[in-house]
Amino acid sequence: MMKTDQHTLNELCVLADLPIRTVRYYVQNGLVDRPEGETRAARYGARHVEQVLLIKKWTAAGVSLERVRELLHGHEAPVAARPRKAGSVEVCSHLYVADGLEIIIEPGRAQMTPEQVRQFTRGVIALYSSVTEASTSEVAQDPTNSAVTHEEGNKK
Amino acid sequence: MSALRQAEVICAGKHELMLLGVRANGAVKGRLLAMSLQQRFRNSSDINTEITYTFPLPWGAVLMGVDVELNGKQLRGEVSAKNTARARYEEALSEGNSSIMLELNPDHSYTLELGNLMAREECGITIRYAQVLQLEHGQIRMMLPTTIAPRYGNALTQGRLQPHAATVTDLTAEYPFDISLTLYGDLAKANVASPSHKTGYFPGNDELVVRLAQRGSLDRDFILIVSDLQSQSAVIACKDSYVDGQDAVMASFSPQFAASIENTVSAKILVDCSGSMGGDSIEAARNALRSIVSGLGKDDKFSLSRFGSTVEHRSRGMWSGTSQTKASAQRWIDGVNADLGGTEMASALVSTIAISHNGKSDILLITDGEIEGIDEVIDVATKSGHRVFVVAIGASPAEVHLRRLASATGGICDFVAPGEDVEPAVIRMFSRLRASRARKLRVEWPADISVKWASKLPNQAFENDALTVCAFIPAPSAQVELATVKLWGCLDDAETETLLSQATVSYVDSTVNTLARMTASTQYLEFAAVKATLKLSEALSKSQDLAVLYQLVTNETNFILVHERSEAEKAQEMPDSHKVPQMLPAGWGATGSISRSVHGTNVLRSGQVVNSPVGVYMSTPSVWRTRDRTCAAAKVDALSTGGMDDFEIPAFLRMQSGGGLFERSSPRRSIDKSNPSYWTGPASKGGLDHGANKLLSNSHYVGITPAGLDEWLNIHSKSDRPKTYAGLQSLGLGLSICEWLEFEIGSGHIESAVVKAFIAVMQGFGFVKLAGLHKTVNVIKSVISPQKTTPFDTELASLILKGLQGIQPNKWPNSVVNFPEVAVA
Repeated sequence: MMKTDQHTLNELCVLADLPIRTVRYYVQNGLVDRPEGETRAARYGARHVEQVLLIKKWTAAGVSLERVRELLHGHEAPVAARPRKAGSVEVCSHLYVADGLEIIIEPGRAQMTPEQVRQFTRGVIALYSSVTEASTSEVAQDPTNSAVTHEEGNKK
Repeated sequence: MSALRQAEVICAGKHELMLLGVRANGAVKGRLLAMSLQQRFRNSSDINTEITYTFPLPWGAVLMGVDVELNGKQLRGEVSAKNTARARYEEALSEGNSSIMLELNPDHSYTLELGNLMAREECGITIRYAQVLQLEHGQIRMMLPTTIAPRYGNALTQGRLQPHAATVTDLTAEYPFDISLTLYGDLAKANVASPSHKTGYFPGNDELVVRLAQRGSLDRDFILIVSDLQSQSAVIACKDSYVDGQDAVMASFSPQFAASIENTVSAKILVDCSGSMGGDSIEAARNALRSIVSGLGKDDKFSLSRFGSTVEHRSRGMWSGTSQTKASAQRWIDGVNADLGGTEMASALVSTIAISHNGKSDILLITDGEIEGIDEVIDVATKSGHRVFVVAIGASPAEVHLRRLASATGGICDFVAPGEDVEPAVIRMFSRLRASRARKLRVEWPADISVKWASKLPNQAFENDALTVCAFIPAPSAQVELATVKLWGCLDDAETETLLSQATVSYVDSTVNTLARMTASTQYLEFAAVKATLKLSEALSKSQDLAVLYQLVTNETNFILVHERSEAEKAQEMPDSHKVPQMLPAGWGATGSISRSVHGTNVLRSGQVVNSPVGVYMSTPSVWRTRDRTCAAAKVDALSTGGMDDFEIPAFLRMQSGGGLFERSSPRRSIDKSNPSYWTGPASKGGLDHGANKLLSNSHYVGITPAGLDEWLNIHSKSDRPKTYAGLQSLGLGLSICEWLEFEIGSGHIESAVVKAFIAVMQGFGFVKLAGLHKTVNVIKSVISPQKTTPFDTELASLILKGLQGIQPNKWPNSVVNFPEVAVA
């Protein structure tokens, strides 16, 4: 029978051997395409079955749902990220933004060009200044926020 | 195939929040807490929505009911079999009606599904639960968790959660929390305090009302500690209104031991150093460790291990609690940080269990418990025969995970909240470890009562730790007031029983059948456990029937409510999904410190490490290394680090190695590390560990040999010589030798004097005979600039000489290499 989209949601779940809530969750979140029709009239076809089975396989292997979404509807990168080998050494840059705020960048893994890293750096620093400027002016104006409410706690 | 380095917060992104807040109301009578949590939802979108909210309940909480208010109307639901409930829920949604379902997850969290909340509609869900509060060492710790922290691992494969139930954390999410608690009876007159929230106390007649003094959020456990309570045992009984002719009984014993012996402690200490422990938690862990180590005596045995993605042990075996080992331990503790990546607890436990010991050992685990794969951990721990005692830290530790782990192994889980003193918990832990144990426990019921069913007793009881037993009995024809229930057990190795505790039965009335339902809940759990081990399916209907009869939400039953809408109001399409994101627990992974957080603003300032005695502010190393060391990798490593053993670098050393290089005008030369007479590598192949000398070999030693040290001193100028223990370690002298110098020889002496004396002694051995070109160069040097012998402390030198007895060119003496363990005879 070559009729397309003839399964109900319940039938789709039986075919995939997955709980109905899980399949519905995948549809709600765009991992599986929406059905033809709505609510009780919704019908799923071979395409949906294939998507559900792929998701089932990948999640069982530990792939995150965000990654599964990319694989189904996005890039064609390999399933597992290149695993880091024992003994490998990685050099990272430390972006020092402020005391207590550092960003670690490994451009290779982040797949960023040097120009992008520069832009990112500028952006982060600009963001930090705007955020801290905003809050210091807030702190100054808010009368209930007296600095004496700082508590050292019971640290011994 | 774990690609996670540490638990990561994957932000759900900015979106309208649909959970408006949670308000808690509770009352405690005797030891029974009745609590109701009101969760308020609002569909802020323009489209019918299915809201999913996964939330935690405290350990031992039994769900009593769910009240729903929708558009001002009170709605009733019921508990029925899971499949039936799910089918009804799905059908309601596909018909455009609304439905509410509550399901218990494998990790004991609950997921609420609010299907088809229409645009702009509001809904209030009130969860009612009952909980028996446990008296431990004269205090009750009442905890209400409000959020679920990010967990390391895979929620679906390890946590066995369904995708819609798995939690998501959002840094921008913020939900208000409020609580009001009324304490009655002896609790109202006791000492009451909250380490987690600022609270106000309002005493009344025979009651005490506790309220928040400052607005709270769903970002930390609410904790109330009631202390200075008298240890008392009590038995209450109540008619079971669901089953005719049946009463439910609950006995709460506080065991007292007449005579107690002091056992020695044999504890394998394992501390969680994963990323999620950053900030408040790792600081609390260090304080707990310091307190534990200082509480150890000479006859106690301990080992130190820390884990993250990998596990690292400080020593091969157990140390005795001497002053040297304790000093070495405190040094190790200073270097403990949340820098080991993920949380591979199961493999860390396996490795720790394998540490050799004589007789029985306990494991002292310090962690926040935030992992998905707790079942595997419990499995490993139970099979090991070790009891696991847990010190659970953090603003929102995984309480249920850790209590399950402790109780499955016969240990106890104790909690330390941020800002709370760590000592009391550690003292309690030691008293449990040292105290007598009561085994072969038995409950003696009044003679004329034939118990229908009674809950199983644990394998052992601890003094002053409450023990609860519940039972169903046939309703006696006459009230059995003043009948006594007794708890018997055998202390330590005794074969004869002693009376541990007793109490008289008192009857109470109840309109909601709480006691019977709590008893049935315990009965259900035992049935379910039996079913799981025996894989019986016939028992399936029996346990499910029990759950439905007593309206209990279990792993076979859900709460379900269906609300029919009028034709005009029915939804035309399937609802959009909204998963309520969790608030990040305060202080998680160093995202701000609770003790420094300023209420009323959204600013999270990260806490500084202010109490570290060494004043350590570690800069993260600029090169990441993996822990596996193959031979080749070791060579590469050795060349660049100058031979430092990776995990033995105390924090202050890193700063040294970073700064020194730039001051040098001439490049540092190093000795040939591939020469076995100068350097002992890992898994040394040189003939150090075969034959009769096996016992005496220090084949586990990695680092520079005595001859190698001599050679190093020869090829470097006097000004390059190390002046500190750290300096000695940086040229490859093993940690044990440096610590021997520091703690054994050097206590009470100046560091530079000890090092100078040590160098003088080493050169005096003359292991490396200068020959050929070297000799000539030296002769010339001594002519050009006559060598002044560096003055050194002769007393120290003779001490060192004595300690180095048995030294050979390629081998250090065992007593020094094994420091601080007792020397192998």
